Order: sequence, then structure tokens, then C-alpha cells
Amino acid sequence: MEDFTRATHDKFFIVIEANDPRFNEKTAIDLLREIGGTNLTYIGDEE
Amino acid sequence: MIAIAEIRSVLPEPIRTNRPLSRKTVLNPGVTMSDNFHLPISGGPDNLLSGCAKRTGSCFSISLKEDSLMSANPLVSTVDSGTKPQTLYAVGAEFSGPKALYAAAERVRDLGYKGWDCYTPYYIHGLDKAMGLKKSLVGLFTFAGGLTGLTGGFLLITITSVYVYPWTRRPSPTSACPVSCRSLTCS
Repeated sequence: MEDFTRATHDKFFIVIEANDPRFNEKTAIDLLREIGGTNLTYIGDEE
Repeated sequence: MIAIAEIRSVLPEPIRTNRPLSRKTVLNPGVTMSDNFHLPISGGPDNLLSGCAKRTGSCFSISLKEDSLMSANPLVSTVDSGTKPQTLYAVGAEFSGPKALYAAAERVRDLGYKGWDCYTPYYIHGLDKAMGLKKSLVGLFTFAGGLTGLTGGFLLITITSVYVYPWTRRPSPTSACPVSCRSLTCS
């Protein structure tokens, strides 16, 4: 995930945004782990 | 040519420095500088000394900025590392391939998430369905635009050549189908 630009080359990502009404940090991380995601990453906002 | 010569003599030329800057020195976020090559703030190549002094000055401020950037919370950090950005925008994960992504997308969709997205290097057929996306309205707007254009064009030709300025010396009656449309309708 550190090299997110590889999404245009050879990598596949799913990103769950924090503005989702259902978003909960812990459940989102657990979900991504459970469905087979690797290299889990926090993505920060600039403000 | 005179203008170019004037500009050349007036504007300061870039000074090549001996000490190379780091490859990606951050001036502002998004602005990078190529190494050992930069513009002096003022003065030409003749006052090299002052240029160097300013250069070291600017280098110092640059490195300070770099330090402050490094010390701030990173925008992107792995969950395992324990550090977190100040305001969280999203949580992301990497998947091994299109099949894994497809299955994962179906799971996320079924849980009812709305604000999420897949990032892939190429178009994956059926991923929109797996993500639960609705049919795009682009087709509808395209059809409406095409219909408007066809009607407008046909009316423009017909009104001008039949009603506004009927040209009587033509091989077909003025009320006939416009030439540009005839191959379609009257063959």
C-alpha cells in the first residue's frame, strides 16, 4: 500500500473511506483482513 | 532577437553547485528539485560568492522543512506499524489479483458499505456488479445529446433551404429531404 501508484500497474486495492456512515476503524480493518487483504494501511487526510 | 538578448542579459542564469542536493528535496509539497542545479534568488553569474551564500541559506531552510515534514504524522502508514495519521481518511488493503478483489468486493458490498472503492490496473468485467454500482446515466445523456443534435441539424438544413431561402434551380423539389440526409432515408 505504500506504493499505491502501482494500482495503475499491477496491484489491486480496496479502500474503505472514513466518511462512510457505517465506518468503524476496527471493524473495517478486521473486515479487510478477513476478506484476504494484505498490507493494511491507514490513509490520512491532509487537513 | 533583441528582446531575447535583453532577457538573457537581464535574467540571472542558473548556477551549477558543487554540493549536490538530495534527489528529492521537498520545497513545497509536490515540488521537487533536480540535483546540483538551481536558480539563485538574485544576481547573475558574476557575483558567484553571494549566490553561494544564498544557496547555502536556501539549502538550510529546505532541510529544515524536510525535517518538519518527517516529524509530522505520516499521511500513509501501515496498520502494523502502530503510527496513525492525525485525521483518518480511509483504510486500505492490497489484494493478490482480480479474483480475490472480486470476491472481497462482493463481501464489502453485502455488508452495506457506501463510501469505498476498488483500485485496479485495468478494467475488470463485472466488478461494477460486485461493487453494487448502479447503471451509469452517461448513456442516457449521450442519447439525449445525439437526438438533440440530429433534430437541430435536420431543422437547420430544412428551414434554411426550404422556407428561408428556397433555391428554385435545383434538380429536386425544395420540399425534398436534405441532401445530407437523403442517403439515409431516400437512398
